[in-house]
Amino acid sequence: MTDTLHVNADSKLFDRLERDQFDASLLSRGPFAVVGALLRAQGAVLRDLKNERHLGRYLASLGLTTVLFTAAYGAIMGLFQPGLQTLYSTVKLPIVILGTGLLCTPTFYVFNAILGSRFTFRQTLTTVLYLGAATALVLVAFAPIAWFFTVSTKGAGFLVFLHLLVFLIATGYGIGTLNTARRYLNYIDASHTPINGGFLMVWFLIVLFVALQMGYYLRPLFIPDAGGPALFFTGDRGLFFDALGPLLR
Amino acid sequence: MTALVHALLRRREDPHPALGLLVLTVAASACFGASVGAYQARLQILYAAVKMPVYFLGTLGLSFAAMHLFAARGLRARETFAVALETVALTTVVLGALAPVEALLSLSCPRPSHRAYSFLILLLTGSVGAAGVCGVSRAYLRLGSIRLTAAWVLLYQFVGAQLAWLLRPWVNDGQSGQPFLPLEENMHGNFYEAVFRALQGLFG
Repeated sequence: MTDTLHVNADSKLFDRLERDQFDASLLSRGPFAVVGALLRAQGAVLRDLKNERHLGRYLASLGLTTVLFTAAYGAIMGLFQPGLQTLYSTVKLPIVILGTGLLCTPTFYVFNAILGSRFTFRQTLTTVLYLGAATALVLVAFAPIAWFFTVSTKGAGFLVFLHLLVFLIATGYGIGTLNTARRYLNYIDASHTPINGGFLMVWFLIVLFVALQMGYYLRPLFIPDAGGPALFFTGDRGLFFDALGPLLR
Repeated sequence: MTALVHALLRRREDPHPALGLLVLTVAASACFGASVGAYQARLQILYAAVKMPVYFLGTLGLSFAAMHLFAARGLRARETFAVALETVALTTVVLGALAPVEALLSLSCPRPSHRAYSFLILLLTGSVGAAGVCGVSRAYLRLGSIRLTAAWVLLYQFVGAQLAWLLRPWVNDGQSGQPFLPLEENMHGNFYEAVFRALQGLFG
C-alpha cells in the first residue's frame, strides 16, 4: 500500500519534470534567466545537463548566480557592523560557498566515476554549481527578512541563531534539489547512474564539514569583535568543532 | 592525461599505457602529499610531495615479486604489473581528488595543537583507507579471485605500513627535529601503535 503511494508520488514528480520546458538561449541574455529555470523548469535543465547541451552557458550562469546571490546575503550579514566589514562579508560569503563547492568537486567526480557514472568533469562541475545556485537562491529569498532583523536587533546572539537557521534551510533545500536531480537522472536513463545515491549522502557530509571549516577559518563571518576594527582575515587557525564545544556545554 | 584519468576511473578493459599510469601516480600522489605537508608549510610541502610517490611506488617495487608469486599461476609478469600499477594509480587518483579538502584542513588547523595533529593523522589515514578500498575493489575486478586479492592487500599493506613509518614525518607536529627523513628516530616504534595513540589523543 505505502509502496504504491510512493510510486505514485514519484511518477507525479517525474511527470512534472518531464513537462518542464526551458529555452537555454535565454541564458545568454543575463545571469538571472537561470533562476527561472531553477524555480520552474528543473527537468529541462537536468535534461540539458544529461545531454551536454549548452553546458558552457549553464556553467557561467549558475556560477554567476551563486556568487551574486551569496554576495548579497553576505552584505546583509555584514550590515551588523556597517562600513568596511560589510564589504568584507560581501566578498567572503561567496568565497565560502563557491570555494566549498569547488574544493569538493574532484571528490564528487572521482567517486561517482568509480561507481559507474559516465559524467564528464564539466557535467560534474555544472551539477555542483546547480547545488550552489539552489542554495544561494534560498539565501537571497531570505535576505529581506535577515536584513529586517539585522537593522532592528542590537545583540549578536539572536542574529547568529537567525543566520544559522537560514543556512540550515538553504542547505536542506540544496540537498533536496540535488537528490531530486539524482532520482530524475536515473529515471530518464535507467541504464546509467550519474550520481550514486549512497555516495551522495556521504558527499553531503563532506561538503557540510568543509563549509563549516571554511566559514570558521574565514571568520569573522557572522559577527566581528564588538567594537573592534574591521577584519578581513584574522589568520587564526582552528577547527570549527572546537568552537562548538563551549556552546554545547 | 585527462583521457587516461577518464579511462582509469571507468574501468575500461583495454590496457592502459604503463608510462602514463606511472606519471599519473607520481603527479596525483605528489598533489596529495603537498596538501598533507601544507600543515607545516614551506619546505614540508615539498618534502611530503616527494615522499608520497616514493611511498606508493616504493611499496609496489618491494612487494611486486611476492605479489607475482601468488598470481603467477594465471598471469604473466607483465600482466601482474599492469594490474598492480592500475590499482596503485587508481588509489592515488582518488587521493588526488581528496587533496583540496585535505589542503583546506592542513591550512586551517591550529598548530601546535595535539588535538588538531591527531585529527590530521586520522584524516590522512582515513583518506588513504578510502582510496585503498577503491584500489582494492579494482584489483578484485581484474584478478577475479578473493583469495588472491586478499593476499595482495596483506602483502602491500604489510610492506606499506612499515615504509610509511620509515618515511615519517608526514603531517609533522613541528616537535621533531629533522623535518625530511629522521631515519634514526623512525627505526623505533610502529605504524599501528601510532594510529591507536592518535585515537587516544582525539578522544582522551
